Amino acid sequence: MTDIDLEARPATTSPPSTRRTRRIPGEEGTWIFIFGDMCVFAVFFCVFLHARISDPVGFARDQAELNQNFGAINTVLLLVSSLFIVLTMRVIHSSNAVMRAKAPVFIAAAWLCGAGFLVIKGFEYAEKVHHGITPQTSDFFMYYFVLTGLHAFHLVLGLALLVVLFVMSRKPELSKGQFAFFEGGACFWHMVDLLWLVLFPLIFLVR
Amino acid sequence: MPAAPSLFSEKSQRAILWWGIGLAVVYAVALIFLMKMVPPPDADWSAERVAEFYRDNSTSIRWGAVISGWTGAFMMPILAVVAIQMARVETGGAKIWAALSLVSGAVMSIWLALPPIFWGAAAFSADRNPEITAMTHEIGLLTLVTTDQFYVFLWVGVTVLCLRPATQLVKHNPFPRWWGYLSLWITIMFEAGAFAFVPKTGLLSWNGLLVFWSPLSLFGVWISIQSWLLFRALRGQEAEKLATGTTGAPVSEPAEALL
Repeated sequence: MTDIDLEARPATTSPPSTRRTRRIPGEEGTWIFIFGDMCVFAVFFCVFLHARISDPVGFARDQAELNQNFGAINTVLLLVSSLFIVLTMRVIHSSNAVMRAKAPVFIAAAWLCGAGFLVIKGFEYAEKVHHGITPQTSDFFMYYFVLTGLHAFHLVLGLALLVVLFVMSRKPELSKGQFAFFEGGACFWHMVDLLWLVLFPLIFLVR
Repeated sequence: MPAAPSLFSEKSQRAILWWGIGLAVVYAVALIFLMKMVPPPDADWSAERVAEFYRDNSTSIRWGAVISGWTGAFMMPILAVVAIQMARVETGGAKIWAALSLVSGAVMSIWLALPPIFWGAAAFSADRNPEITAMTHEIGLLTLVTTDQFYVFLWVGVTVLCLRPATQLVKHNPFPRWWGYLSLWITIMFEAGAFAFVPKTGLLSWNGLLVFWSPLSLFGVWISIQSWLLFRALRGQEAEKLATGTTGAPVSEPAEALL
């Protein structure tokens, strides 16, 4: 968020100060949404860990069936997509037209990474179903499908949002309100990434 | 001397809102204490165990159904006020989002009123074949938790109007932008309900976190906050009407033109 913060600070006419101005990126309302989502996922993570404590052997056995390569590739994809969003925020306010023109390209690249995540997730689910594994197979797989499915649903919302940001980024200039929305959308995308960074080790790696 | 402006509309909206809130509270009390559906019985109970639950609580559940028969449509008055206020801020032509919310309120009431009828029917002759009681019970619970789409129409409408910049230009507006984000989040949280047809245990079972607890609590949160926003806006609208003789709503877009 630091990158966004640094880039997004509106120009000020007040004299330069040594004290750093504190500012919330995006609209305040965006953070209701983001914190709400993160709280719910935090509860889910606790519920998952609680269930795991009650059946550590069963959870470990089922976890061994997961394809960690898919999870690892997806982690890289989301990290790269977040990087593209950070780059977008760096250039979106640039007065240099050449730099500014890179914003939609970066967003398109982030979108492709997100779409790639979904494609791999689709392969992962297909592999499970092919082996007869469904949410009803065991508690572990119920949590696996629900938590990763819920995350994928957020990713779909994020992809829709990136389309909106893509259209906005092609405008010659953004109003203050539009920029706040733009920044909020970027924060949402980072949240989707962050949730996966917790979800991946929790489901795929924790022993 | 000009006549004092009439506050009939604002006072009526406030009265109707309190009417809906009162009904909602009584419905919730009946749901929790008489029908004993909070938390609901586990989805993996056997038919015999469900039948025993209805035999043991037959009188209580039937009286709960009676009270729900009087209160189950509590969202109709609440959403009538929400829709009128949405129409007030929805400038620029047909009040389509307000209309969608009004329809949503009318139809969601069916899905709130039906479950107690099914549970009341299950308790009505609790000594019958347990399989029949269990099925009636299941229809009641699944009706309650899987009919989310009707709520979603309302919240999408509220979200659109909250996030529309023109809405924020209307004075005494009960739909601030932050409320749009919160309503959108609640919309997403509600989408899990329909999964209750699949698992009998866990997060997505009919007594699970995602299907029962989160929608139930968020529904209560939404009604509480929206009611507070409406009461606050109505106070402002009344004060403005008394001061200037107008409501602060766009003159060319009278709220009466809702439908």
